[in-house]
Amino acid sequence: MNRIVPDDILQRIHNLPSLPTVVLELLASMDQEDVNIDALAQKIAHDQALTAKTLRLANSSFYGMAKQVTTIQEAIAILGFRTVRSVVTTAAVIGTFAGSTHASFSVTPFWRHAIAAAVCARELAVCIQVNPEQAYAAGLLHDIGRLVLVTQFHPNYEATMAYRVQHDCSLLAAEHAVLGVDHAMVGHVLTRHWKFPEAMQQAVANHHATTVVGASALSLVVLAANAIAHALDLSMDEDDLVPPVPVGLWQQLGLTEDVLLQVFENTEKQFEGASLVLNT
Amino acid sequence: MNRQELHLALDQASAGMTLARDLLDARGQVLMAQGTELGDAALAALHRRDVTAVWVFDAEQASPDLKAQEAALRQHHQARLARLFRHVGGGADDRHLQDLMLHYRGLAAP
Repeated sequence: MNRIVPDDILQRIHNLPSLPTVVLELLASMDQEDVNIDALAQKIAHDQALTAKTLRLANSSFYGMAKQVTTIQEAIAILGFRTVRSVVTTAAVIGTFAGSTHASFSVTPFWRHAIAAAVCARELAVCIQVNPEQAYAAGLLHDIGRLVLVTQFHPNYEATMAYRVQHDCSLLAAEHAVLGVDHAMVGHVLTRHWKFPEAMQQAVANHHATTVVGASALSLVVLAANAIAHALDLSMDEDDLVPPVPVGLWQQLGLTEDVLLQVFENTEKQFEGASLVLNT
Repeated sequence: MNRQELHLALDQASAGMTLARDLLDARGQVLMAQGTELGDAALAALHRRDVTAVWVFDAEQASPDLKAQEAALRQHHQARLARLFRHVGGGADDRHLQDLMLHYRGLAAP
């Protein structure tokens, strides 16, 4: 029997390594107006692993800097606090799940899709005046519930993947059939446990919503970014599948065809640089 | 194989054409580099900047190799999109995304 009851989810989430406190503070600071950048920079600098990763990325050819940066403060001065905040949170989240290799789960397509959705969400957010950084973070983490299922409910998850292959159905349908819960719901439990900003919790919970009624702008952005990222085929997953989107999504976002085509192009262009984080 | 260049008024240039020469602004700065494929967004940007004419490669003169490559790429995109969208519902919004993607890959107009 592979059913999962909601109480089990919270219990298993306690087994997960927690995100570094400074990362939670960085996430929370995304919807704050005045942020104490110096204090946060110092806290990042105290985490040596995170600092090393961030500096490696900041010094990668993607950012095209004339000279190498050697401290977090220097990286912030040159790249800006927002860019560094995105880099640090991305590196930390990926690092938390670095060991999640299992036979039925491919880590690289997972993160490639997450980064594609993050970049696309940021592009969409700029067009409709949603906080672009929060959109990036929510896009990056929208499927985080899958990692909870893979790492904490592995036998159940294997059965789910087998079901999916056998029926060539969506992951969501397979999860409902086999587990009785889905990765959006599990992601919601995790982001609530990690005390993410409320809007981000909702965006993770609603990224497969079947209606646009009552959805926040951030939720709509992540929902659309997920579908677009799948459609752009950036994950390198042979069996990738574009999920259905709710009726009225594009109208609700209010984006013309020209703007959406530009979003596709910008997403593809920025994806290669953004995905460098996977190699560090 | 050398490709024929055409000097076209911007109004005659269309999405999918490739710039045959660097496009420079009044100060000699490169606005768009040779080899850039003109998409709708790029064309709109050129209109905004009051560019009046561009050098593009003549698609008719494209070498057979290149044509074959382009055809193979189109075929690849067509097959991938059909596979990626194999389970979307029949909703108008699903279709809209699929049509836009086809258009984006140069496969059909929305």
